Amino acid sequence: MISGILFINELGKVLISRIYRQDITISFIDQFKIKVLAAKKTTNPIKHVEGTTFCFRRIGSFFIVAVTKKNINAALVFEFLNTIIEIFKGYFGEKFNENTIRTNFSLVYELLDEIIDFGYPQTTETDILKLYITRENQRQTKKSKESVKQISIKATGVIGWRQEGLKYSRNEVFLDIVENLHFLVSNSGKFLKSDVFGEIIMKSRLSGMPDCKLGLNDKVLLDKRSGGKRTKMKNTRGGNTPIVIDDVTFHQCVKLSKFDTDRSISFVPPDGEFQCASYRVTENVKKPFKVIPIVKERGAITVDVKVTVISLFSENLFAKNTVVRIPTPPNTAECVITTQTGKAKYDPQINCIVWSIKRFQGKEELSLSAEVNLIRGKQSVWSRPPISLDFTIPSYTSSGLRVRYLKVVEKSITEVVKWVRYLCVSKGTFQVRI
Amino acid sequence: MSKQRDELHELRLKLSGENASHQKEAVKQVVAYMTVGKDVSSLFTEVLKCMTTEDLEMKKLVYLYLMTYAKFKPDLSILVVNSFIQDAKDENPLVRALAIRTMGSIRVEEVTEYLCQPLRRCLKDDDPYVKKTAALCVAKLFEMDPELIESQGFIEDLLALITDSNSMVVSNALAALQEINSVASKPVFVIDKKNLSKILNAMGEANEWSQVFILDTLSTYTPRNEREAESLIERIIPRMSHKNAAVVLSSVRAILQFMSNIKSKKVLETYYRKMAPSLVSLLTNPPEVQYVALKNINLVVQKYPTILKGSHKVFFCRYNDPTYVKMEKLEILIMLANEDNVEALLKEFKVYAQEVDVTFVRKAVRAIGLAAIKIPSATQRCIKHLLSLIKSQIHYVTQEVVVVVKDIFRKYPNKYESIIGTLCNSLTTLDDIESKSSMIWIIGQYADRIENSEELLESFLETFDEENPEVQLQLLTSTVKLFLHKPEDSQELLQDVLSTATQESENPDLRERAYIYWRMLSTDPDVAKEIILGEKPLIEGTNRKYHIDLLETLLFNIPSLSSVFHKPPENFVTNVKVFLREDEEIENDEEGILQVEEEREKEQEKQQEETTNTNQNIGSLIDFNSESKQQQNQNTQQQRTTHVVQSQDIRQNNNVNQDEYGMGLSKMNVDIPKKLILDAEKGEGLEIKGIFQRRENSIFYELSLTNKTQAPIGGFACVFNTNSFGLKPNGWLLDGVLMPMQTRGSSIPCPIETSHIKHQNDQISNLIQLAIGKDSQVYYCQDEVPFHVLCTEDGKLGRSEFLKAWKDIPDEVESLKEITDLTESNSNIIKLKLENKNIFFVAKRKADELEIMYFSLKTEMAGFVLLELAIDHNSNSIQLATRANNIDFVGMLELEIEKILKEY
Repeated sequence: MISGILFINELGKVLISRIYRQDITISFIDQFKIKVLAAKKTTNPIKHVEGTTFCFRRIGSFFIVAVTKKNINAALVFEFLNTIIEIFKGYFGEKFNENTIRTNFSLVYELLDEIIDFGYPQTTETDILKLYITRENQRQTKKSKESVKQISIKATGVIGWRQEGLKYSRNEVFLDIVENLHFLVSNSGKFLKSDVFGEIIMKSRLSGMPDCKLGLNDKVLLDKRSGGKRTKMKNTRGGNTPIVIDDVTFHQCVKLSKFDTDRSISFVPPDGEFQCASYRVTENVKKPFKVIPIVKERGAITVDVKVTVISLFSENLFAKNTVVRIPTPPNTAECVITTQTGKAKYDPQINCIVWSIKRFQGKEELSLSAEVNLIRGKQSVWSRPPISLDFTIPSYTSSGLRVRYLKVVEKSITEVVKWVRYLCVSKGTFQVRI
Repeated sequence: MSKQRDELHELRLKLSGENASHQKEAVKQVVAYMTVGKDVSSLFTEVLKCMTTEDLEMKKLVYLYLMTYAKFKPDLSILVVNSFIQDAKDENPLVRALAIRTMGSIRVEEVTEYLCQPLRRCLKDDDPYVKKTAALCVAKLFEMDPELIESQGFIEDLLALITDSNSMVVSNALAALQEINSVASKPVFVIDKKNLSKILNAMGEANEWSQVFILDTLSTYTPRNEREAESLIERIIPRMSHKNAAVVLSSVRAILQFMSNIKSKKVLETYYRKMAPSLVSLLTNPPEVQYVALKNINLVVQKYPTILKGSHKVFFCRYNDPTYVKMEKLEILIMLANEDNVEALLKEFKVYAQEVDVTFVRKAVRAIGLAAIKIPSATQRCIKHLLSLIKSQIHYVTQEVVVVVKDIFRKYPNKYESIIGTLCNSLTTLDDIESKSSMIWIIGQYADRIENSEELLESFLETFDEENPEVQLQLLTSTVKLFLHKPEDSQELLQDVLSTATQESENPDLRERAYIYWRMLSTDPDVAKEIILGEKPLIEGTNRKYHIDLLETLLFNIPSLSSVFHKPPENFVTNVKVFLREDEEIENDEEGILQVEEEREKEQEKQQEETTNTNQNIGSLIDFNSESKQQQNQNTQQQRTTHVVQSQDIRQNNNVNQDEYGMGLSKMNVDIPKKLILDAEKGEGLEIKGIFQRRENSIFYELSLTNKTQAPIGGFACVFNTNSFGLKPNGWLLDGVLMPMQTRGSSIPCPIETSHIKHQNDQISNLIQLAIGKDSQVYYCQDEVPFHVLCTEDGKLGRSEFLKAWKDIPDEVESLKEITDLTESNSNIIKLKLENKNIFFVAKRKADELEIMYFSLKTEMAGFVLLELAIDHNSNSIQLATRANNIDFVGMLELEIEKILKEY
C-alpha cells in the first residue's frame, strides 16, 4: 500500500511529507528530486527507481506524490490522489495553492492522518470530514458526547454521505444536465469522433432521508417497459425519444444493483451539490456546429485562412461565449483579420487567432478570413494543430437526453420544487483539423 | 547557527509555559520545522508534556511529532505510554481511535509491549470507528513483531471482525489479513463458503476504497464450480458502473479471474459485452488514471482480441492528450486494426505522423507499418502513406519509414520493391542505428535491382570503423550479398570488408561472421549463394506481445503496478512473497516460490529453444541478427522502465554476453575506490572522498560526502583553481542538506575549458587545487587527475593513419622509457588494460624476441599521441616509445601507463 505522501513544488521544496510505513526513509525525497523533477521532460505519471515507485500528479505549481515499495493498486492510488485534491478544494476553495498548503499545514496533516491509515485510504467524504476536522476559525467548542458518537458512526456509516436530521422549510431540487462535447472533425468535415460526456449534477435542499428516483429517456429502460413494442411510444413530446446510452457511472449513493436489474436510478442524495451520474453517448449525436476551414500556405511567407462556422441548432436557441481558436504557424508576424461578427485578434502567446462571438444564434452562418504573414527565414515544420471551439448552449443536449421524472419520497416532505436545466458545453474539446 | 539555537530556546520556553495558546503555537512551529527537515528532536521532553491536552488538534500534532522522533528516544518514549493507555479508554471514540492509531505507528519495542491490552479492547469496541482503526493497527504491529500477534491471538480477533455489520470494519480487517498473508509463512486467512457471503454483503454497502480492498481480496478466491463463478460475477458486474476507476478495474480483475471457471461461450459473450463499455468509459478520467486504464485495456485486448470491436474511435488521440496517453492509445489502436477499420486508422496514423513530438511521430510511422504487416489487403495503401511521408523530408520521419519498409519487405518479399528507388533518393541523413542497418539490409537484399547498389554501399563502408557493431554486422552481410549478386563490380569492396572485419575488428561477432562468409565463399560460392540468398521465413504480425503465462500473471495483477509496467511483481518489488493463486494449494511457502521459479526457468528454456530453432535454420542465418536484435530490444525496453538510468550499462552488458571472452574484452565501469581528499578533522566533521572518472564522453568528479557531526550541513560549493588541463567543475557540489551521519554521493561534470588552463611554462602538473565550501566556510585541498580520464573515446587510429602520423613526427621527438618488473606481460591483457582507459590498440607484430604493440590515444589539449610498446617476455619489461605533437604531457603519460600496466 501507499508508504508515504509527499507534496513538493517544482523547485524541489518539500511542502508536506507524511510517511505511513517504515519501508521507506526520508531519502526518497532526494530520489524523487533527482529522477523526476530534474528530468524535466514530462514523462508518464509513474516512475520506478530502484525498488521505489512514485505515482504523482501535478496540480498548479506543485506535485502530489504517492510513494510505495509494493505492487500497489495503481488505479486506486491515482483515484486517491484526485480525491485528495477534491477534499482540499472542499476545505480551501477551488483555487488552493502552495501557500494555502503552507499556511494550513497542521490541518493538512490532520487530514492526511484521517483519510489514510497505514497506507490504506479511509473516509474521504468531505462533508463527513468537516464534521470533526475543521479550519481554525470555524472550530467549535467542545462537542457533546452524543454528537461525537454520531460523528464516528457517520465516518464509517452505510450512508456515509448524508447527515441525519436535516430540515428545510422549502424543499428544492436542481438538476443540471451538462454535456461536454469531445468532437474531432477531419479537415474534410467528417466527424472522426463524436463523444458526448454528460454529467447529471444535482443540488438539493431536502429534509430527512429522502429516497429519490430519477427517470431518463434511456432506450434500454423504455424498451423494457414497453415490452419491446416501440409503436406504443408517443413521440409528441421531445423528451420521450429514447436514446442509447453507451455507459453510465454513478455516485456511490446510487444503488448499483438496482440499476443493474431494472435500470432504475434510485438513491438517497447527499445534501447540497454532487455529481449524481456521468454518462457517455456516441450514437446518433446531434452536432451543434459545422466548421469549414480553409488554410492555404501561399508561398513561404503567407498563409490564407478562411473559417466558416454554421450553427445547426434551432433558431430559438443560441450559444453563449463562443470562442474559435485558429492556430497559426509559430513564426507568425502579424494577422490581417476581417470578420463581420464578433471580435477577433491574434494572440502571440498561444499562436492562435482568437475569434469570440458573444451570442451565436441558431441556424446562422458566420465567417472569418485572415491573411497571416510569417517571419521570413525561420522555416520550421508547422504541425497544424486543430482549430478548437469553446461554447455553451443552454437548453440543448447533443445526445438528446431528457429527464422524464424525478420522484422524491420522504414522509416529512409535502412539496418539492424541482428545476431542470440543460447545458451543452465545449471547452476546447470540439476540434477541427486543418 | 546561533540564531537557530535561539529559536529552539524560545520554543522550549513557550512549550513549558502555562499559556495554552502559546503552547499550541509552539507545538505547531515545532511540527512545521520537522516537516522541512530541521532537527527538533532536542525538544522531545517538552513536547511530551503537552500530550495531556484536551485540545484534539494539539494532541494530534503532538502525536505526529512522536511518530517521527520516538524511535530516536526509546527511553523517553516510555513516559508517554501511560497517556496513551488513558486516551485509549477515553469516552470520545475519536480519541480512543487516535491513541490506537498513533501507538501502532510508534516503532519502539517498549511501547509495543503496552499496546496489546488496549488494542485487544479496541478490537472489541462498540464503536465501528475504533474497531476499523484497531483492525489496521494489528497489521502495523505484525510488521514489527509477527510472533507477538500470533501469540496474543490477534488474528482470531481479526477473523471475527469479518462478520461485523459495518462494511468499513470488514474491509479494514480484510486488508490487514491480506497484509499478514503476504508476509506470513502460511496463510492465516482464506475465503471459504462461510465468510464469502459476509464479504459479498459488505461489498454492497462499502465506500469506494473498501470496495476495492474487498474486490482485491475476492479475486484470490477460486469458485468451487461454474454456478458459483456465475453468481459471483453477477454480484460484481454492477460495480463496473462505479465512478471510481479503481473499483471498475478491480471488478474487471475479479470477473476475468472467475470467467476462467466458465465454459459456456454464450455466457462469456454476455460478460464481454457488459465489460466493454465500462472499459471504454475509463477514458473519461484524468490522464493519470487513463494511463493506468490504457495499460490494463492493452492486456485485456491481448487476451480477448474482439472485446472492444468497433470501439476504435474512442482511442483516437486528441491533440492535447499528454504524450504518455497518446503512446498507449496508439498501441491499442494497432491492436484493434482490422479489415473494416484500417482505412480510418491509417488516416489517423498519418495525421499523428505529422505532429511534432518525435517519439510519438516515430510510433505513428511504425503503426502504419504494423498495419501493413497485419492486414495484407491494406498494404498497398500503407505504402502510399509511407511514400508521402518520405516527401516530408523530416529526417526522423524518413528514418522510421526506412525501418518500416524493411519489415514490409520481410513480410511480402518481391512485391513492393518498386518503391526502393524513392527510398534511395531520400537517404541523405540516416544517423539512427536501426534505420541505418535497415537501409543497408535493403541494399544488400535487393542489390541486383538497385542500379547503383555498389556505390550506395561503398558510401556506407567509408565509415565502417566508426559504426556501431550492429551496423557493421549488417554492412558485412550486405556486402557479401552484393558480391553474390554482382561479383564483377564488388570483389574489391568485399575483400576490403572481409579483411577489415577479420583483422582489425575486436568484436568477435563481427570477426567470426566474416570468417564464416570467407570460408563459405572460398569453399563453394554456389552453395554459399544458395544459403546466403536463400528464402527467408516471413515475419508475422500478431497482437499478442507476451507469452500466455506472463499475460495471465499480468491479468491477475490488474490494476496493480505490475499491470502498468507489464512485468510480474517479483521483477520490481523486493523481498516480497510471490502472489500465489489459491488453486495451487501450496502449504509451504518455500515450495511456492520454487514452483514459480521452476516455471520461469521453463519459460526461459522455451525462449532459448525458440532462439536455437531460428539458429538452426541456416537460411535465416544472415538475418538472424536482426531478429535477435528485436528480441534484445524488447528485453532492453522492459528493463529500461526499471533502470532508466542504467540503460547504458545494459547495452554494455548485452555486448558482454555476446563476447566470446566473457567479460574480458569489454569495457566495464569498474567501481574504483575513492580517495580521501578532505578528512573529517580538517573539514570540521565533513568528510569528502573523490575520484575523477570518465564516462559518456565527459569527465566527472565523483564524490561522496559524509556528515560526521550531529547537525545538518548545507550550502555546499566547489571551485577548482586554474590547472594544467583546464578542468572546471560545472554544477553544484551537493544540492540540499546533509543530515547527521548521512553519506551522499555527488557527481560533478568537469568539462575542459581553455580559459581555465593555467599557463605556466615550466610546470605541468596533474594536481588540482580545489576549494570546498560548506555553510560559508571554505576548505582547501588537492587531488590528482589520473591522466587517462583525459583520453577521449575517439582516440583510435586506423593502421594507415597511425603509420602516417608516426612518420610525420621526427625521430628526435620520440621519448623513450623503460618499464620493468611487470607482473604480467601477456599482450592480450596489456591491450585490455590500456583499452579500458581509452588507449586504443592499433596493431601488433613480432620482432625477434620482442612483441611490439602500437597504441593511439587522443586528448583534448594535445591531440593524438602514438605509442609503441616493445614487450620483452624474458625480462618482463617494456620499452615504451611515445610520439606526440605536443610533448608537454608525455612525461605524465609515461608514468600513467606504467601505473596502468602495474595495476591489479
